[in-house]
Amino acid sequence: MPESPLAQDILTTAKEARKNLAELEQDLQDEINEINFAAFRDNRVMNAEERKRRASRRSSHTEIREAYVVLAYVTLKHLDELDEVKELQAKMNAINDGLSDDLDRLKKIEKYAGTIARITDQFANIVEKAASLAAGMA
Amino acid sequence: MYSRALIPVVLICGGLAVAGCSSTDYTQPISDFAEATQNTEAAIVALDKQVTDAYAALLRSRVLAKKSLVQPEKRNCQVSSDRCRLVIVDRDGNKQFLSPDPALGKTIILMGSIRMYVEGLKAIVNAETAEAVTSQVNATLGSVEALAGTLAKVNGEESSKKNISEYTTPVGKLVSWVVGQYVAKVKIDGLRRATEHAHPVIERVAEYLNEVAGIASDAPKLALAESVSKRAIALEGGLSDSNLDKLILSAARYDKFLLARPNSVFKLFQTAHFALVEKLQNDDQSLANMMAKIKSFASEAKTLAKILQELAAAGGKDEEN
Repeated sequence: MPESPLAQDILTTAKEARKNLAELEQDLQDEINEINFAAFRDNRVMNAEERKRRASRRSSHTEIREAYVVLAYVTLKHLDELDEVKELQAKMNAINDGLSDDLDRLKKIEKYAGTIARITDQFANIVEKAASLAAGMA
Repeated sequence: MYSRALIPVVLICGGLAVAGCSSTDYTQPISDFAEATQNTEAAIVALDKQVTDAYAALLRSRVLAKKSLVQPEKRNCQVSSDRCRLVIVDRDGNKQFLSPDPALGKTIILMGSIRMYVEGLKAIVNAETAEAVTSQVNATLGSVEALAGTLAKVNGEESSKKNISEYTTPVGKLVSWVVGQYVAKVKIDGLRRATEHAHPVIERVAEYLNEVAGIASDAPKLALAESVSKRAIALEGGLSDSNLDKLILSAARYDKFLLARPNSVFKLFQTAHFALVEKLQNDDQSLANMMAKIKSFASEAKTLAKILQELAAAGGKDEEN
């Protein structure tokens, strides 16, 4: 899992989109860094054009980052709705039912041992009666 | 006379092929595994909440930025309506609910059934059947010992009491031993069967959750990356020790999250479960190796759950300190 063509398709599409977002995000960060560095290197205050460009890149940067959330939510929602999730759930339920049966079996052993104990008790009673009988005869 | 009573017990002993199956060997590893699975479930729940909350926040921000219009869903929020849900509509007419459903509703239920499975393994290994049976049997055998007094009176010999006492203790021990071994066998068989059946499913679920966690972790990553960016901007605006410290701290928080590698936990989960299956199927496998893999999974799961808890506690907001 995910094995179905649909799941693979969802993941491939999402990974491709994420890769594109990552490239854009990095390009924008590089550009912001370059603007900052140019002013720092020249030991000067940033000019108006640089400030405007940096503000614009930062705004795009935030939008790109928000797109990650949209992509994540939509992808997860699609994956969550896959039949494979339901199928795995059904299989796990069957396994859990089996485990429940095993626990019941352990409880039955307890009952079985109780039977052994009762037989031992009956045996003790028989011996006691035989002993009393023997005492009466003596 | 008394020695005949031992025959069935000895026969049962002979019928049990129980060599090498000690369910107690699995008590601690399975308990660790169960705790780690619980932490993993908590991590998935936290990731789902973060993605859904981040998406909901984004939808709200679109409304506030006038990029979307908020209005009641059709036939909702009227006196005659059954529901009252709000939708947002963009300029192209595309609409969606303002409060989105959890992204991973069904996946979380699936993860819950995995946790139930591991708890089932733990319940089997911790079942106190053998102990309960032993005390039951021993209590009854006490009545046999009480016969000693009667017999002593009959025969006028103190030696009879001694003879019975000598007999009851070995019988009690034998019955307890047989039951204990049988219970251990039932436990091991149950663990073997369940883990063997579950493993292919666990493998698929782990691979699926690995993908899911990788995608879902983009939500906390966004919050943490934005925090670093905001701190960097604050430092540009005002060079100070305090602003520098805040930038360093926010970067350290993000780095800690990245190093926790949310999706790696599911690979470790898969590896740990495989080690458990291998050990249960083949007693020659190293117990230490299985325990090491479970501990590694447990450690990563605990770290991830803790980080996500801290992030949730911070409410996605930038830490001030």
